[in-house]
Amino acid sequence: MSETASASETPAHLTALPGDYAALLKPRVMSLSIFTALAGMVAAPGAVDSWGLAILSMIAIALGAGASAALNMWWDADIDGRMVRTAQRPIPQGKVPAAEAFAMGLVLSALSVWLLALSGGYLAALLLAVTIGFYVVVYSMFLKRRTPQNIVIGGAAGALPPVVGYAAVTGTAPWEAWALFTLIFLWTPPHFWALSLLKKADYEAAGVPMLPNVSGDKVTYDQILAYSVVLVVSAPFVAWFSIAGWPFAIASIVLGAEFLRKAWLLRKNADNQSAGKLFAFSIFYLFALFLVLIIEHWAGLHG
Amino acid sequence: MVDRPNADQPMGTPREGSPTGEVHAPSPAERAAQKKRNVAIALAVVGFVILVYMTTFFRLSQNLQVPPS
Repeated sequence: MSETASASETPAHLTALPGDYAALLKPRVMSLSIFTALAGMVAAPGAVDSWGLAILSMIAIALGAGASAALNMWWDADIDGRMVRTAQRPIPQGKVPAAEAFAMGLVLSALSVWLLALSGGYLAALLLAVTIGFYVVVYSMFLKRRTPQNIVIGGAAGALPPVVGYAAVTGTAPWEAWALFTLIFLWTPPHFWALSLLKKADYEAAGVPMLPNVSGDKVTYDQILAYSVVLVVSAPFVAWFSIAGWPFAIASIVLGAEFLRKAWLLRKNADNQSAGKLFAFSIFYLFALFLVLIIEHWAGLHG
Repeated sequence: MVDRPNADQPMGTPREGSPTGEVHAPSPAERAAQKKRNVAIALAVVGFVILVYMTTFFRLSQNLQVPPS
């Protein structure tokens, strides 16, 4: 029997640290899910019955988002290694074995859904399970590598957390909760297509059929503008439902005008700088709208 | 880019694979990393137990606040 202990031969996963496993959960995406879920909770009618349970529900939703991210990284490990943007992720780096990411994703999925069933009820747990399943199976496994409409349809997964949050505190998911879903759903295409314009070479190398790679930049500019118009026109109508009031309506009109201007400038200038500006602003736009929604409820400006 | 371990094998293949007769003696750096991972797993398990305990506590509190019909 021989012994091997040469440092130069040490596989990276033997020296993996807890942080490498935490990176599988995409903490930044988790924080966005928590934020939009919180907005769904706050926007629900009436006072939150138990903030303790609401916070536990948010933790469960965050765990669910992390679980779906780990499963996504497991499935996409091959293409992640070919893209500059994702090559530093733990699996392509060899720090975390793909099988361990898969196991971690499955265990966290089950625990997050179970915890949410206890803290937020069965409907919220079912919606979280659908969110994870949709992101991993429908988006990652079926859509991402097959169609340039991948992020349009797949955007439904990212749009569900406010509905899950609403369901966690009310036990229901009426139309008004789906208005928040629609807002994020319509926001997703211009946001991701702006990013895909910047990372076109990456997606080309990985063979992911993003819109700019398949249909060209001009079609992408047009599609971004078209979706931006639909988003900006639709956003104030969220205030038509009881979940949002006049502060949200005003914010959506003001921010929407700037969103449209940036989408128009991208189409006019047709350069990466404009795409970068639109991408950055799209993040601010969604964050600001949900922040206004939360503040107007907490400040009693709602209604 | 560094290939993932067992990149030539299907995903889900255990990294131990078939017995080779070789024994790997962990280096001090590997032992330290393993210890940190073990501590993290322990904290995660304890943390989850606390979450379930708190959920039960808040649920019971909520039910106690409901006046009897």
